[in-house]
Amino acid sequence: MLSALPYVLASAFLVPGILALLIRNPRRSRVVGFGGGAVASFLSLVATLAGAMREVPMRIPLPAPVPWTASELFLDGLSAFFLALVFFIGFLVSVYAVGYMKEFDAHRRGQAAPLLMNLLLLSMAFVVSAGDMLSFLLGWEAMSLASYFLVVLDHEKKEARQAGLIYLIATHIGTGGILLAFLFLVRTTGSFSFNGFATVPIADPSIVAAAFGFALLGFGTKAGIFPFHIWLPYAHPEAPSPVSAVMSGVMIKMGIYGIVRFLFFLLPSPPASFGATLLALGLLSGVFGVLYAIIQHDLKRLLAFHSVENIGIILTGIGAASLCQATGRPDAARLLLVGGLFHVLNHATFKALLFLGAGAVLQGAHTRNIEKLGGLMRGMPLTGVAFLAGSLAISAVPPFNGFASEFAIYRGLWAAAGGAGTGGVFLAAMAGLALIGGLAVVCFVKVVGTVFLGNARSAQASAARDPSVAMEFPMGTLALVCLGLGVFPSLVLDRLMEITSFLSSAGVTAGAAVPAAGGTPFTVAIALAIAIGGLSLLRTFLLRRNGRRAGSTWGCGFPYATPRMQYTASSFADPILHVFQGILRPHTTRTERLSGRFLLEVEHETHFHDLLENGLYLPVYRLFVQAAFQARRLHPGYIHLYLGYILGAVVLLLVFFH
Amino acid sequence: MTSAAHILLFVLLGPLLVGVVRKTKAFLSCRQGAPVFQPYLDLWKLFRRGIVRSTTASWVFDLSAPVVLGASLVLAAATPLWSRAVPLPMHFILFLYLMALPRFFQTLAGLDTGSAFGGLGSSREVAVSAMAEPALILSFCGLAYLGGADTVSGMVAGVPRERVLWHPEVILLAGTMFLLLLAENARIPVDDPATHLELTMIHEAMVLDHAGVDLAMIQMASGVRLVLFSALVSGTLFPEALSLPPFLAIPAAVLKVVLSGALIGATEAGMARMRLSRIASYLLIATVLAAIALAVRYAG
Repeated sequence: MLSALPYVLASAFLVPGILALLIRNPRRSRVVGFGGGAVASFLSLVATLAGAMREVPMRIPLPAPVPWTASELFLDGLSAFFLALVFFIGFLVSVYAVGYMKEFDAHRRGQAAPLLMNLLLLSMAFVVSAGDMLSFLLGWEAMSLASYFLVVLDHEKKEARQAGLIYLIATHIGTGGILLAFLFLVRTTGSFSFNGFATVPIADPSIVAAAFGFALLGFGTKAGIFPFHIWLPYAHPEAPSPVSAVMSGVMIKMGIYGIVRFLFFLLPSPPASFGATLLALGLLSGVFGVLYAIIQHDLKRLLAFHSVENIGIILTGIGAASLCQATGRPDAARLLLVGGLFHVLNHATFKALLFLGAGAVLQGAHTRNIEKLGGLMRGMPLTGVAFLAGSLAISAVPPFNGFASEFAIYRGLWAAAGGAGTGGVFLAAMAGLALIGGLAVVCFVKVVGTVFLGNARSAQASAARDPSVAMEFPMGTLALVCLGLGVFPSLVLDRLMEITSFLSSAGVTAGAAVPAAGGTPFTVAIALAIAIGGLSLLRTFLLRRNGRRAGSTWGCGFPYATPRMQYTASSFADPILHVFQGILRPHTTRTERLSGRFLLEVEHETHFHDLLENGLYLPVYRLFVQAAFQARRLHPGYIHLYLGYILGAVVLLLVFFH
Repeated sequence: MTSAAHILLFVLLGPLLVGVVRKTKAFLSCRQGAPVFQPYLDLWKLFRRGIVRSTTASWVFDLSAPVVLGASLVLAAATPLWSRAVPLPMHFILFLYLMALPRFFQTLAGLDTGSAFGGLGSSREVAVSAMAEPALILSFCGLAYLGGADTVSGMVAGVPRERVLWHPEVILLAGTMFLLLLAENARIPVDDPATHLELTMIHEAMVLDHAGVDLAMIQMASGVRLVLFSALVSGTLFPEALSLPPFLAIPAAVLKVVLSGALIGATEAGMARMRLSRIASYLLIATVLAAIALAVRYAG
């Protein structure tokens, strides 16, 4: 019975996808393909929450993909948590895609999207439940390829093709790293299964360090950790919005899953330096991610940089957890890991919400450039409310869920800093997180303010309207979940405390993640609701008595204020840009066209030089291209030369191995 | 009942503090100045006025004033002003992050009217607050160590008496908190609350399109937040005042607020407003001071 489960799951996702390919009518194809995916995800979510989470650890044997190996699915608490995440976001995004993907109705290739999307969801479910290296890598590759094809779905656009290429290269470098990391473990333990890795102790610390280094490269590339994040800001904007939501909300978390799996389950007692490295990379990702996000004009590119930031926050929690584990602070370690994992869920919720909102904006106003938007709250009130909820959540404003998980991380850092010795590191991490949080507020006030408030900056922005119910329902649900998890964080925290019980068994309960006396998120939410509600009523009452008039915005007495006089997103970001210009490197060029003494036209352009792209990746890329041109001489197209190569190879083999 | 009294005290002392600041400033610059109680009269006037609402504004604008005042009152409920006990004890991280809620809505309302003034003020406000964040969290960490508690009320009340005043940690932390008080409450040298020149102002530009009841709520919230910060600074320096019997505690709180007002006023009178580009280094100074206070703790 149990062994049939993987097949049932696979067919539940793949059959609707294949049917969608066969159906001629594009609308029906969407409904069958994505609708089928949504139903499959929903049922799997229920099964995971009601069944799998209570039955862990659970093993399901699989037919071996390669002879002489054994494959199995192995579900423990951690897997079940990520599995639930995949299905939860998968369900809502599939519902959304039913409405959104009508953009592709004109193209036959749009009908491949359901199959690819369902394959992506299925392969992610496979990745987190794989119990051995081979099935893990198979799932990983299926995930990477399915997402690649989804990124280039719009392949008529040059940007999409370029983004796809960058993503493909990045993801394969990543897979290479993971493969090497696993091979180090396989070679020393002689086993392919995760349980086998964990049971055989590895004595040589240099092997452990090498495995960790390659795992960090591999999983870090997928997760978008600085400095491996380079593909994210290209691939996320070009992919169709539901795909961006899945990629940013769930797929990059597979990298986090891999890091947690390696660090806390597969590697034997990792030294403090691993955790310290992750902590430093986490803070760097956070600060760089949010700083680059602040200067973006492309709504989806901005959100992509925020994924880098949030992965940084998650990694700060996980890295600090590992550091605490290595330095004898088990209780703090547990809180930090719980906080990091909770932020995985929360980021998935609000980032999926924000990408879905961005998709609705894109479909309504046909532009991602926030300098051309504005005033959308009037035409798209529902999208606006949902996007505002997501923005409050991502800016970690209580009582939304982004705060709940950062709070757990802070409490862990605070508990760790209390111990003697290296406590200062954790205080510095707290200051870093605080800066990241403050900058995130800057960025999302900018986004909500310029996109949804004020006056429309273009005709298409004023014509934008709320999307169909299929697209509104997922956004509304996600917004409610953002608030719900913020007000009742213990729903998830309790569960995560159980999952992480291997770190410390000492009487740490969920109460440690939520302060007991007063001031819990719940009481604060109640207090806020009473205060704000009461004052709103008072305001309404006073206005009814005192009167209210509609007038134009104050324009210093001049009546002709136009939308062009509004503050732009670039101006809004300018103070931050000014302070951090050493990192952001703005380059401005100004060209003037004169006629005699009169100035006719001035052109003013500002560009940002990405330090990593120009300093590291482009030179390496050029080196590769040059090497490839040199290597081209080896295959000039003469068959006799190729036969000569074969002869040479045979001779060499005979010489060396005979 | 005491909860209501606690919050009412914040609401009532806010205008007094603003009045004292203005009077001190006027006195030190050899002017007569408005009466100390003028801010009360201003609020009374504004509460009885209607509003002119921009046709561009959305519901976010309507919600902004209640959110700003409401969240400030919830923050006040966690701050010890006249006794150790507060209506809503709050972890200091929650307290700091809750400060972002009024800021978020205030700055959004600034952008909601489509005015360049609002955008300008909002942009500067969020930038200043973001850069103040590390200093705030480090100084709260320092206070939490000092007071041996992680709720805001507990840590202020727990500052040990014998260490007060001539101990470097206390001086450094109170100094940092005072620098942050000036930055977070739109005071000189970061912002100038008296000017209406758009090139220099932050807070005033942001609320330019608010009128009547809305403006009254926002000014009241500013007063509450100023009292809140003053309570934190003076609470760190004189924690004894929090354990007095009630009939002495309330006059002591009033005295603390009046003294804070005089100190803020004297600072404002003796200084010019900084250029905007210097604010970052000002806040960096605050961060480093807080870090030194923490380092002193690790050393001692």
